[in-house]
Amino acid sequence: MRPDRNLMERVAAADPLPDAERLTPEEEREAEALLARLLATPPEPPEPSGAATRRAPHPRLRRWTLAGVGAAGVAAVAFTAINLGDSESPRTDVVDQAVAARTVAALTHEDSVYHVLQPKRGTGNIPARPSGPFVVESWHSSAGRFHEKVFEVRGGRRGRLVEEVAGLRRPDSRVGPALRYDALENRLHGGGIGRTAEADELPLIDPTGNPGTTLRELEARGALRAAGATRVGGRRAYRLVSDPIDAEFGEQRFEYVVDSETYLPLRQRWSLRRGEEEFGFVSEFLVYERLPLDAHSRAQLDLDRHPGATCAVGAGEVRGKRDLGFANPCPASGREGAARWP
Amino acid sequence: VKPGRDERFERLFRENYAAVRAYALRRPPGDVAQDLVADTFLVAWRRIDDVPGDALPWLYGIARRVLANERRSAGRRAALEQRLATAGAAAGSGDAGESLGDAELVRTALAGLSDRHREALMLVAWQGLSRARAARAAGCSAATFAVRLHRARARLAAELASLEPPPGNRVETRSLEAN
Repeated sequence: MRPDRNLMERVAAADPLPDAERLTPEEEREAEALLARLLATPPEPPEPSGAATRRAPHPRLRRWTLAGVGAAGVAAVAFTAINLGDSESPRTDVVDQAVAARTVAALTHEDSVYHVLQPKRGTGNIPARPSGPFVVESWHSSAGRFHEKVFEVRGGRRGRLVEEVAGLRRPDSRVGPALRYDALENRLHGGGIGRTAEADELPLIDPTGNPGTTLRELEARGALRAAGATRVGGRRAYRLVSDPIDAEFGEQRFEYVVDSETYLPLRQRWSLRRGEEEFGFVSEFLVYERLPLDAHSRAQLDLDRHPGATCAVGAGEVRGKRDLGFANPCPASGREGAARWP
Repeated sequence: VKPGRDERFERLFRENYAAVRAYALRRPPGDVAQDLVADTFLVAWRRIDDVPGDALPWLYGIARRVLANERRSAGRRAALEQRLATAGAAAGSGDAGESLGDAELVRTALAGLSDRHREALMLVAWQGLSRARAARAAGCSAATFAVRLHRARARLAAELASLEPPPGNRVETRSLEAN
């Protein structure tokens, strides 16, 4: 029989987490870490009324960006300089360095997986590959793991999967093994990704790398600079542009627009000019979020399972878990055959 | 930077972190609880001069608005609706009164309430706030909150009544199952 109790007592007894206010040692450490991040956050002036109810484009990310700010060790004085830069006044090197450093810090956390969703389309007069538009959903880690899925765009919406690639882009050499799934053939192909030192025919900086890696490389070359404040969808944002990167392959230019609060990318543009020829791509980030590195986010870095998929010759020779970051489902002999998912 | 700002915030954080975290954990979607806590204290950090002496209801109010924003996004709304739909389906399937424990039954009934009514009940019963403090957390006057809570209780009672089958039906169901 149903207990005949006071209604409020029944509600209280239905509390799914009656001990929720009691913290475990691990939760206390999380609290201390959050406190440290918040105290390291520049105390911005209060936002206009309703700030607490206004939605940021990536609310989930703000927490993680705080960690990025802390990790970068950016001083409050630098933040003040950034605010001055917002007024479109002439910028100083301090501002440039702070914006670039904060952006790189926000995009290169080692204990994270980044999840990105971006429509992408080719630009220029000689598209090097089908120019789309495509929708690309990807996950990557600073350790070089990556997983990218390319979808068609149909009727303004994400259509069928076209291709999927997952592997490891070794940070030290910028190359690494990858497994590519051709959705139209339901077939896996082995290969590599990235640029070797001898590969003069490829761009000096891999434009398909993740923005964090690319920006870090540009910053290391001293080729990255802030180019003023702008607005994207009502949000304050900073432009970061590269100086022209000269390579045997042509002259590359990168441009990123990053959120002024989270320092996460909102837009990306890359172009390569060689003589009269120019091509590249432009994309807007619908999602750019930082996920804590755990079993769930780590699993997102693996190639999806594709029942009935076959393996092309050589696909199995892309070595196993140690190199790809996940078990290769193709025959280790390198022969053609059925994929076997673990 | 105002002198003492760090110290004031640290004290605020240490005194209220566990309660704000519990507030977040008790409200779906649970996977954003840590973000909700971080966002709430970020607002507090930036508005430390606005924090009243009795900070907890104020912090709950901030958390409530942050959560409302989260739910406005399509993904969050879909997750919530899915959760509520699942709860509703469970409640509406056959002998719900027998298959659900009382706590589950109450939670299912809560899921069927409006956000305002559910929040009023949870602030008092789960967060343990007095009605005056709960009113501050809900962002309304004490009188308004009293009316809201009264209506919430009535709606909850009605929801529970609709979920709980009459005793006679239960006996009959058992009998049918036994046969």
